[in-house]
Formats: sequence, C-alpha cells, structure tokens
Amino acid sequence: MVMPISNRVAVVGTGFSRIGRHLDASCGELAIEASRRAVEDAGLSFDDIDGISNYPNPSRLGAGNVDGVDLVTVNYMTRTAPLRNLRWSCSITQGTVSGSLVEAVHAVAAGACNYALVYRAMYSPPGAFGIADVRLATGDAQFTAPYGFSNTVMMWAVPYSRYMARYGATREELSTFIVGNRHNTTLNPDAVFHDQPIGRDDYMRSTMVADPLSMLDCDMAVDGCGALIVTTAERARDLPVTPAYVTGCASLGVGYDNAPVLTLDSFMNSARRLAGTVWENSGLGPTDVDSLNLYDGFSFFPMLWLEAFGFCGEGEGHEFIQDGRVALGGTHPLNTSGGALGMGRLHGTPQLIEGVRQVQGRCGPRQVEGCEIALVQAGSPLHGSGALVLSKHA
Amino acid sequence: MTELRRPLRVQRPEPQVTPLTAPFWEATRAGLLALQRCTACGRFHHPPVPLCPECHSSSFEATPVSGRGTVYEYTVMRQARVMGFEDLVPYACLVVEIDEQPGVFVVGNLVDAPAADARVGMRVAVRFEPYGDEGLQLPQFAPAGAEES
Repeated sequence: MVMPISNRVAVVGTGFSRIGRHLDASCGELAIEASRRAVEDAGLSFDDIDGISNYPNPSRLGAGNVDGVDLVTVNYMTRTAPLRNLRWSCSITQGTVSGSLVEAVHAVAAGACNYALVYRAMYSPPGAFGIADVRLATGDAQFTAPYGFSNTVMMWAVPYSRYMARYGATREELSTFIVGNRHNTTLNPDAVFHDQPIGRDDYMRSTMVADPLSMLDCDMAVDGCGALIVTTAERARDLPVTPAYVTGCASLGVGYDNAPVLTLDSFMNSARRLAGTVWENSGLGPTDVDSLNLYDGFSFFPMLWLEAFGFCGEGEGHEFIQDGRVALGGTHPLNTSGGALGMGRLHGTPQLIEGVRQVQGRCGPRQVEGCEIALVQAGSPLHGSGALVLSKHA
Repeated sequence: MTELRRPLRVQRPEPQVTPLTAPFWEATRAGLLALQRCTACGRFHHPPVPLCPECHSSSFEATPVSGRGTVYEYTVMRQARVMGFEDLVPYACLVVEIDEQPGVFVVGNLVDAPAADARVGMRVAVRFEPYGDEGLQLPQFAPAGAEES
C-alpha cells in the first residue's frame, strides 16, 4: 500500500559546506556553513527551523570525541545556529543520513515541526579513519579482531570477493563505472575530485588495500557537511523553490543474519527488504526512475543496489553498468554528482542532495533531461540504510 | 619524560571471554573447534547468540565440529593499517562456511599457505595456534589435504 503521507512532505533546500581533505575549520563550523546554505536556499532563516535530525556517529572512534570538533550533535547545532524555535529533535544511530531524512519526513507529516533541518557532518581525522585501539576484542569482535580483521576496507572486501566469484564479475567491468563516475565529478564544482578525471588504467593500477578493493574503490575521508530542509507540501508551495516531493521512503536495511562478518547474502537480503518497502510505499518501481543516486562509500555498492532495487536481475549489476547505460545521457544515469567516490566521504549526502537538485532541475551541465523522479539511497546493511523516491509533481 | 617518549607496545587483541563465548574458547585449549548448538532444534550458531533465532530456545551446548569447511568469502590485507598486525601483511582473512551447516561461518587466517593462494570455494581444515598468556588457542585454517580436493 502506498504510504498515507506520500507527496505530503517535500525537500525544499540543500547545501554543502566547503569540502576538503583537511580543512582549516572545525566540523561544527562546516555544519553551520552547510546548514545556513540549505536554509537560505529554501528562502528561510534559522528562526524558521523548528525541527532537527541527524546521524552524528563520529569518524574517530575511542577517546577524544569533542562535540563541534570531530562530530556535530543536534545539541551543538541547536545552541550554535541557534535554533530558538525548536519543537522537535532527533538523533539516530542507524540508517545514516537517509534515516535522519526519513525521520524528519515523518515528523513534518505528523505536525511535530514545520521546517526540519537534516545534516551529516564529516571529520577527516589525522591518521586513519575509524581506527579503534582494540587491544581487548569485545562482543562479536572477539571472533574477528584476533585475526587482524578489524578494518573497514576488509569488512567490505569479503562480500565483494564473493560477488566476483559467484557471478564472474571483474575489476575491469567495475572500471567502467569508476571512470564514468569521475567524468560526472568533473561537472560538479562542489566535488573534492572536481579537477581529477581518471582513466581505466589508473584504476587497474591503483594500489590494492584489501583484495579485491584498491585505493580507488574507497571514498576519501574529507572534512565537510551536507544539509537539507524538509517541510510540508503546502508550505513548500509558498517558498521560492521547486519542491522535491517525498513520494515514498523507508529506513531500515540492517542485515540480521548471524555471522562474524556481513556476508553477500545478508547484504542482498536486507537491501531487497529496503527496496521492496520503498517501492511499496511509493507505489512506483524501477521503470519510473529518471535519476539514480545509490550510496558508493565503496565502489561495488551501486551494482548491488541496482540489483536490489530491480533495475537488473540478481548477479547482473556488473554487466548492467556497461555500454554507457548508467552514464549521464544513458538510460539510467547513476550518481551524476560523482557520489562519495567523487565528492568525498560525506556519508550519503551526495546522493540525497543530488536527487533533490535533479528533481528541481538545477544541476547545470550534469542535469538529467526531463528528470521528474529520483531515487536516493544512503547507508549499508552494516549500518542500516534508507531510501526515498523524490518527485517533481505531487 | 623518557617514559612518555617510549613507543606504545601494541599487542594483538585478546578476546574478552564472557559466559556466552567461554565454551568456544575453553574448547580451544584441547584443540577443538566447538560451536554453540541449540539443544532444541539442533542448529549451530556462530557467533554465539542469547536466543536461538530459529526456534527461540535459549538452551545451548558447545558442540565440536569437524573443523572442515569451504572458503565462502575472503580478503588479503596488503597494507599496515591494523594495529598489531603491521608485520604480517600481506595476510589473508577467510570466512569459512563449516561443513556441518550451510550459513554458519567462522573467521580465520589462511595458514600453511601464501596469502595469495586464498580463493572462494577453497577447501580448508582448522589448525590451532597458541594465543595470549591464558592457554587459549586461536582456530586458523590451512588448505585441506589432497583427499579433500
């Protein structure tokens, strides 16, 4: 059944902060910068914002997390913006920024607030991202950490190894997507790799980190923030912007199979569960979508999501991305913003914000012609993920 | 001041053994790979769970398995990015599906073979290596003998 709040809420404003490898600004400053741009983009001020939603998980694990420095909580934003008229706030631990956005949609539809700010601020720590001192391996990690199996790239390398072996997928095939994605990136001035196109050979020669994943299969940690503003469809029509109506949305997609690491099967089971819920809630399907925005924190994710959402059959993603099909101008333009691989590790905001702007028709040289419906998805079955179908017409 | 300048001595992580995970680790002292098994429905679970996801029983018994299985997924770590394992690169981490039950996975390094030999579908058998000061052993996996292939 189509969700009762279909097309009753819209995304109306978006903004990115400066984005860079190590910027001379705190994470808090960048969150304020992105949020102010999103608020002004919607023709509003911080005094209009009465709801706030976030996924604050820090990029530096263990000791030393400081609010406003390496993570930005809703409390920091509330007192720093400041949000004097706040009536609703929410901070989630699953689903990344897509989950925060879905919660904001629900809150606005329920009348808990009128204008909600959603953001995800990222900090690029000195040294390695997400490193924890794990001299004591607790919980399920006691069955992985003693093997030196406690690095994020390794965690994702394993399901990809299975995908390649099961379906005969190759790095050469994936290079088609990588190279095309970097071309999209050159059309996006916000992107950290805006001026760095790469060729197939660059990818094939990229230094291996954890087989089969190389440096160019991983997004690069950056300092930066993306923000969005959500309001009711009625209020959206009074604003000086084109609304992107939320036709369907869902936030779940955590794998529930019991295993020491996330397996390919577990990834696909939960991805299909999310995709099925989003299609049901929206009343739409893969043939309706003009702009595809699928999370690419690791390069092979979009192939799996293409399968999960039914754009192609199981195990066909590596073939589907060939022949210009997912390129700008192709039948299924995918991650026209350059995604996380091109924009930097912004945890899904490249997907969410690009989908909104495609529906609004404001993507300039990378605009998908006649774009009316965008699919945006962020997160993974390890952290939870969410997705939304955005429409130009209510 | 000299104390502060001394480099940190990073050790490989020790498992924090709890009542739930103790049967697994205790069995390793005797060189056995024993996995949690539901006494009601007979299914194996790893890592150990507080409630059987199949039948919702909470009665379990650590049960020895053959230690043989097939590599379901793997990775070869090629960079010194994991503290305590810098000297071991490249090393292979295997996700092994055990023979006793499809969908039950145990992680181990590939031993007795170069990391580059790791493959999906490879037949492996458990080996134990002493780990830490408490007499525990770490289950590892070596290529299975010729009779397996």
